[in-house]
Amino acid sequence: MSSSLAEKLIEELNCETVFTIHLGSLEIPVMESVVVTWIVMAVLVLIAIFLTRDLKTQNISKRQAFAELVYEKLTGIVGGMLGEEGKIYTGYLTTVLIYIGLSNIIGLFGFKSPTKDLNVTAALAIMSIVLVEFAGIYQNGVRKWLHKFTEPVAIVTPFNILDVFTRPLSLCMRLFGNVLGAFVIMELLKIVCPPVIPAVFSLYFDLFDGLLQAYVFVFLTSLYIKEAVE
Amino acid sequence: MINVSFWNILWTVVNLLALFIFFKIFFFKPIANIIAKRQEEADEIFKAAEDKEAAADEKARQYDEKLAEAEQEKKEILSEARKSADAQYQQIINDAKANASEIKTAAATEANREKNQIIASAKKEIANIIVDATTKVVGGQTGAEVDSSLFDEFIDKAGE
Repeated sequence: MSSSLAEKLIEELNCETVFTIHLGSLEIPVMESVVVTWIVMAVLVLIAIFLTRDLKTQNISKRQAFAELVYEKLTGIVGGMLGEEGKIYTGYLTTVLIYIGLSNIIGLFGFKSPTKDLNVTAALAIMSIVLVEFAGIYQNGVRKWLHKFTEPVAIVTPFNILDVFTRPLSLCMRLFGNVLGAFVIMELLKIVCPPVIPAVFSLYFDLFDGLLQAYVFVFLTSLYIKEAVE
Repeated sequence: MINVSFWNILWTVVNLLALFIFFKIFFFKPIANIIAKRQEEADEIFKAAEDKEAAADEKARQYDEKLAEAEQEKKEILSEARKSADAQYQQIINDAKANASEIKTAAATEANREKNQIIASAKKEIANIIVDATTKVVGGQTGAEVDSSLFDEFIDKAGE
């Protein structure tokens, strides 16, 4: 029983290579998480295209009203967190928010969440820290960006430098750990007491926690950006 | 699960950038554009309304001005009329006064003339009567000079 459960969990957690692209002597593996990401992307882009078909300025359709509502709300939330100086990064962070949100809850539709793959969350975190540092350099110039490492006092410089690595690490691990933990708990619940109780918990772990983690990820990234551009 | 794969990370980065660009093209841009366009239209409508209001204000001001002008004109005409009426009145009065004095003078002259005439004729008559009477009394012996002196004497005495 326990060994089969462990096997099942490991099988669920394992990210297999779906196919490999041969580019000359280069072998590029395409993993499951990447394929699911493509599915997520396709769904999102199709929804976006559907929502933004024949937009009008007056007598708008319900579809357009919904699209505008979503746009206003999401960019409002992200833009509010970024502040006035970081506004240009709203587009990217909104994209990340939508992507992580859908990736986290796509498990409900029988796919493996891409965010359950450490490499995906690592990539997200790396992009976040690159964006944060880029924003700092772009806004303040290299000198001031370097000087910021010694603020507020020179003695904290090592910690500030460490921050550049710990921040993406924590972003990556937080997202990965939450999704993984939620998944493991749900699997255990499904085995221990089916069928009603897991459904209730699924609302929390699959839906709420998934969206919350997307929000937290974007929130922290925008916080770092805001700090960098100040 | 926890095996780090460079390719996977690269794929995810590429995917994310691609998704970002797709979203920019298919979601953010069109909606931002349409919202900006709507704002523009609303601004235009607002501006048009403002212009109309300004025009209406201008017209109202012009009417007010015209009304004031008409009022002023009315006052002027009235005062002019009053002035001319006054002048005419004065003229008429003056004319009447002049006429009246003329008539009075004429009447006085006439009366004077008549009086003198009457006096003269009365004198003549009285003289004649006296002459007659004297002639009768005295008889026809005395000459005309005596008569005349007698008459003068009489007149003088009568005048005293």
